[in-house]
Order: sequence, then C-alpha cells, then structure tokens
Amino acid sequence: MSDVPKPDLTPDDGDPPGGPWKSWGSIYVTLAVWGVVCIVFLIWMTAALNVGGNIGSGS
Amino acid sequence: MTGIDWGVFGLYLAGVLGFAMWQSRKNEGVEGFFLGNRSMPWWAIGLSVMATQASAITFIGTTGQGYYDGMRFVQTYLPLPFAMIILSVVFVPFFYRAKLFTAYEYLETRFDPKTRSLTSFLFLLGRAMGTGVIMYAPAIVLSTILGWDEVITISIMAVVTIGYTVVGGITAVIWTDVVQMLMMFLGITLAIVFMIAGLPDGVGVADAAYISGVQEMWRAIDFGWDPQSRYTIWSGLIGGTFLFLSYFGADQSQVQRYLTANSMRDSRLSLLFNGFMKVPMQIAILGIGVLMFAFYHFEEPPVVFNDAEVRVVMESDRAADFEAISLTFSETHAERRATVMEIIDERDTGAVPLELEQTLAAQDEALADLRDEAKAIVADVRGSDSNDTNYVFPTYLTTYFPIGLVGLMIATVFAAAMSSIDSELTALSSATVMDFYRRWFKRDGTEAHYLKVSRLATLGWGLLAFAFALRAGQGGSLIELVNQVGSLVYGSILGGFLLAFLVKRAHGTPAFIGILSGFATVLAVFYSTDIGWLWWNPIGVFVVMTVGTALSYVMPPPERAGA
Repeated sequence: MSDVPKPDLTPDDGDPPGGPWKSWGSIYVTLAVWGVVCIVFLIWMTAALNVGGNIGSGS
Repeated sequence: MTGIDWGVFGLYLAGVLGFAMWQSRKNEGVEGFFLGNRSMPWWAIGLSVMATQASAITFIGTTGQGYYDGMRFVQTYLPLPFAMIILSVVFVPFFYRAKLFTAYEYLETRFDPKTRSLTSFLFLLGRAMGTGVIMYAPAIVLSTILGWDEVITISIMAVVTIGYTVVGGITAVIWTDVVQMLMMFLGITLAIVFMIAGLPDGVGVADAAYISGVQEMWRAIDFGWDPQSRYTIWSGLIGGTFLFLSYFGADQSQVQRYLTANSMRDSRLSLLFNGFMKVPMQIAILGIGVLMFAFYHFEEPPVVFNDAEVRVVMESDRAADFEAISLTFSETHAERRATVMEIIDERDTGAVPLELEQTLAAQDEALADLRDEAKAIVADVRGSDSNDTNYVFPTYLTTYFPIGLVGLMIATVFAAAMSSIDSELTALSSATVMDFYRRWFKRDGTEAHYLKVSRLATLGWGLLAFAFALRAGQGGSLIELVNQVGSLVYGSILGGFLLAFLVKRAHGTPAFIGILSGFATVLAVFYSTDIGWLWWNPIGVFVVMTVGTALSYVMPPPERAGA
C-alpha cells in the first residue's frame, strides 16, 4: 500500500499574496465572500428585473 | 466586411502570431515546449487560464444562449470561486511539488502505471472531441460573413491552427492568450456600449431591461429541484463544483498552465485571479445576449439566423412556405414593435397597463412559434435539426457594428479560438507523448526526438479534431456541447485524484477499477436517462470514490518494491 504523498512545502510556499492580504487564509476568505456577493446579486436580479412572473407569460 | 475590416482582421492576427512566436524563442527542449521552462508570471497564467476556458465559444455560444434562454446558464459558473480555493489548497501543492509534465503522471507515483494511463486516456478521449467543437466555433463566424459552406471554413481554420500549433510551444500559447483575453474584455465592453447606443431615441437601458424582463430573461437563479432541469442553483453549485474541480484540477489543458509557474505561490495566484474574474465576465457575456433580445424588439431579426441554411431552403421546394412564414414574422414583429413603443411611453408616464404586458408576452410567443415553424422547414429540407443559437451574435456584429470594429471583433473571436485550440492540442500532445509514448514505448530518446514526436502528435490530434468539427454543428449550443463531452469523463478522472489525495488506504488496482466503474456509470446515465449533464460529474466522482475505497479495503495492497 502506498501512503498519501505529502506535498513537500517549504517556507516560500507560505508567502501571502501581499498588499491587503497578510496570509493565504485572508485571500481565500475574500474570494469566498466575493462568490457569495455574486450569488446575492443574481438573486436580486432575478427578483427585481423579471416582470413576466407577475403577468402570466404568453397568456 | 469592408476592406478596412479585412485590413484590421489581418493586421491583428499577424501581430498576435508574431508576438507569440517572438515570446517562444527561448523555449528549449520538451520542458520548454510543454512547460515554458517553468518561468511564466502568475498574471499571464491567470489570463491564459481564463482565455483557454473562454475561447471563441464563449463569445458565440454563450451570447446566443443568453438571447434564447436568458441568464440561467450563469448558475453553472457560481461555484467557480469556491472551486478555485479548493484547488489552491488541495491540488496545487501535490502537482507543483512533484515537478510533473502531466497531471496523470502523479497517479503513477501514487497508484500505478495503468491508473495513470487510464486517466490520461479518458482525458484524451473527452478533450479530442471538445477540441473539435472549439475548432468549429470560429468557422461558423466566417461561414456567416463570407457565405461559404461550413466545411470550407472549418478546413481553413484547421490548416492555419494546426500549422501554428505544431511550431509554437506553451510559451507562445500563454502569451497569445494574454492578448486574446485583454481583447475579449475590450470586445465585451464594445458590444455592450454599441448595443445600448443602437437603441432607438427615447429608449433607455432601463426600458430594454424591462422588455427582457417581460419574458423573464433576467431569471438567473432557479431554486427548483427537478434533476432533469438543465440549470438550477443546485445543479449549478453541486454539479458545477465538480465540473470545475475536474476541469481545473484534472484536465491537462488547465493543469499544464499552472505547472508553468516559477513558484507554487504563482500557481495559486493564477487560479485565484480566475476565481475573482470569471463570474462577472459570464454575467456580462450572457447580459449581451439578453440585451440583444431587447434590441431585436426594435430591429427586425432574421427568422432564422443561419444564412447558409436559409439559402438552402430558398433553393428547395419549401421556399414558398418559408417565405410565407417570413412575411407573417415581419408583420408580427412590426405589431410587437408598436406594442413595445407604447409600453415605453406608458413607462414614462407611470405604471404599464397589465394588458399591454400580456399583449407583448403573447407577441413574443407568436414570434417564437413562427421561428420554430421556420426551423422545422429547415430541418425538413436539410434532413437534420436546425439550431441557430451560435449564429445570433455573429449576425448582430456584422449587421450593426461600425466599419473597422467588425474586423476587430471577428479577429478577436478567431484568434481567441486559435489560442484555445493550440492550448488543447499542446495538452493532448503532452499527454500522448509523456503518458504513453515516453512511458511505454521509448524511454531513452533525445530531447530532439521527443520534440519531433510531440509535433507529430499535435498534427495527428489536430486532424482528429478537424474530423469531429465537421459534425459539431448538429449538437446545439457549442458551449453546452463542450461541457457535455467533457462531463462524460471528468467525474471519473476527478474521482481518481480525490481517491489519491483523500483516501490513505487506496491503492492501484481498486483505483483503476473504480475509475472504470465511474466512467461506465456515467455512460449508462447518458444513454439511458434524462439526468442533466451537470450531475454526471458528481455521479462519476461518487462511483469512483465508493468503488475505489471499498475495493481498497477488500483487495490486498501490493507489496512495496524493496520491502
């Protein structure tokens, strides 16, 4: 049986992106929040811009 | 196209290709050809990752899908930011540290040679067909513009692209992609600006959005649970997550890109960059389609967008039937335009009467029915289904864009496709040479020998993709077709990698059987059920993980060499 190979991390692998992101964790959280913001925006778009649901499309 | 457009088109292509070749001059040997000597900056890789996924198909297929189907397709892309995080945390360290040429090489280290070969074979199977579709996309643009048959334009496209790909390496591909992606951003902006500017006097963006809203074209999120529904928030988030983990984590055409980085930090940043940019870009591209839907309420669209099909019908004995439908279509469109203008007047003064909205919805439906009737005639004459989704945006471009910009937009579509095709061909070539030829047939060749074989492999895959491209037009929306073809194999490949990363006890033969079982199950689902293609990926992963894990506990693990 083969063991799970461990990625051979070295200190430079832990370098954060820089700027406002002090760690990899902070940029991951930022991206996750961005993903949620996109979903919320699209839910708003669906609710606010579609008037067809109110009139019975094709009737 | 005018002479100015052709000039812009030619200059742009020549400039991009010259730039690509100049950038690739430092490539040396197989590592230079396939991995750019592992020296590419993260932002260039990030743009290349985006450009490879967003080829000409994105411009043609997705805008057409937005025109006919609204925003629903965007749900597929919603999990992409989260998938990029998982890839950065889990996949990149394994791949980057192993100094691989192909993703599948890792599975030999972890499992055994046959598992590596199987996954690489599945990749080749899915990607060769997908490359054919990508080759087909720009050919239809030229077909619409020049009035040539698609076979001629596909042939020209294939010859040019295969020739360029055989000469260029991954460095040329990535730098070409950088230019293409920047051009695509410009193209998206120009398309939106000119579409809004093309609305009649007195009609604003809010009016256009309202007109699209009557047919619920802005419905981006569907909370329904029907597994046969192609796009819901659930199939998007669950199926899409698996699709993107597979595509970016187990597809050589993407993994090869971030293996070219000079550090793991740059590999990660290239993927995270993609995570931030992709969803807004897809919203904008689908939005172009929805805006086009509104735009064609004021300008009369062709009853069928594929000009070549219309010409065939007009030379057949169904020409009179088609003309009658076209006439009724024109009359109904004029009535609908009058209704729309009335609605816009009412919007200026206050609330729109419900009867007017209902009239508009009914006229939209009537025009859609007439279009279906016209397509049925086309299908009857041609003997195959008619689907003009991919002709909508090219037709708009050539009809309404100003002189000069038409050439620029067509060049963008054309060159974006070329850069994607050569990315795919390079990936196919690297998997063939590294996972099969060098692994099983000739392990002691020189660098020059492997380079020669790589170029021959590129040529062979190019010809196969060409053959598939000739059939791609009958498959409906191009973007959907590519994802469907990929999803037949992606789940099984991803399952193999997740088994390797997450199940400590997993070993070679159970993993091999698990991957085969996953692929067989997805094929069975494809042939015998109506389950939407986004679900094929999680199904494949689930079967591979379950079978692979269970068998790993039942079957004895192999003895370690030297143990």
